[in-house]
Amino acid sequence: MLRPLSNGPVRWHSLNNTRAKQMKPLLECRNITVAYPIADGILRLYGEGISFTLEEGGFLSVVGGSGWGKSTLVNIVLGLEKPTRGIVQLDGENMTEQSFVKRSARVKTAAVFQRPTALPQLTVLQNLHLALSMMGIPKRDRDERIKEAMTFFGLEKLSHSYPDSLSAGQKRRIDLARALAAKPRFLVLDEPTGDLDSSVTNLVMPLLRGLNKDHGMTILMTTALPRHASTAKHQIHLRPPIFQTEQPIAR
Amino acid sequence: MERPSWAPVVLSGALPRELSDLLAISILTLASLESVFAQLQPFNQPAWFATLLVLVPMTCALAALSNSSRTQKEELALFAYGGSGLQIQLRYILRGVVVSIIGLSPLWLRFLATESILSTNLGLLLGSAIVGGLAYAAPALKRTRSLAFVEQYKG
Repeated sequence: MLRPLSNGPVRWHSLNNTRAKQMKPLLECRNITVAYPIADGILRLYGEGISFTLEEGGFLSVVGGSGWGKSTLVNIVLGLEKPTRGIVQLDGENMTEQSFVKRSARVKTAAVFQRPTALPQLTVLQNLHLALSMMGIPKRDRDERIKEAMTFFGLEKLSHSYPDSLSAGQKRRIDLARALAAKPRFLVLDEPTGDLDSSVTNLVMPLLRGLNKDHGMTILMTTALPRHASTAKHQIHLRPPIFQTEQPIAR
Repeated sequence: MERPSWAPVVLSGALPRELSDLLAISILTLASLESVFAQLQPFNQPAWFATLLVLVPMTCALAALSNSSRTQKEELALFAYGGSGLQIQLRYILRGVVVSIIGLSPLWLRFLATESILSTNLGLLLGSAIVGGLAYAAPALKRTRSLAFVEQYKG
């Protein structure tokens, strides 16, 4: 049984209140289009020029059906994929060509992907320690943050388990714990409740709202479910990809 | 101030843990023991070193390739944790060097016991270990640079 850290609104205790005083764009995507060749002379186009701005302290849901390019957009925002056309600006700087590491160096970012990510040869606890130590968080802080995250997500009994022995929902909770324990300035979540049961989902959504509202964390979340999208302050709705015959697309 | 650190990502993967690594170490150890216990004195022969330069990287690359499905999970996680491509390559190079050094340990011990620390043979042995490390990292380099790699995040 999961235990939220407090009664009432779900909140993350150890975060300082860093609510952004001034609203300025943290993320700006302009005219993003991604083209994948799927057969000779045929392209699948995602986006058709998506443009949006996410302000510091904002919470944006990207809503769309399966295969509509939500995860592709996440990868582009994180710098794991480059758009065929368009610009990604982070904190006022053009980061379209920069990797996730360089973007995260500018704006401390944590990501939860649709597919669970953990090193199979390390235990849950070791994975969380490694992730936070890679971000340069001192050990004394790591212990506290990890304990808090594991308690919140009900992972205490799994701390010495190996990821491959866990269910998809348990792995998803590890990913969420890892991302939130890092206390990022920018949190990117690709369908964060995908593998979770309703009891955990009911904790995660209010938690995200609390992180955004009380602590000013900037959040970008994708979802296929309108009821989850409504957690965010703002939403953008993707359209299905279109197919067209190949033609030069200027970068 | 929280600053990303290189040491955890590189050093946490230095020790060979997988069965394929242990098999690679076993193959190199057997080859080394064969050389050590041979009555011939093959160590100054260019042919012996050429054989080593082929055997070590091939064995290391085979060990890395045969473990691709697990190492891909490792790479996906390390990128998600904020690791860079270079850090991940260094992690594998170091692991490959460790596999090579342990595997060639009979030769190391023999040369350390009989020759100067700056001898050519020890230098060649070190060179073989570095080549082994590079070969160990090569499959991951190819994998992580492909578009198919980031598609794995999409579930």
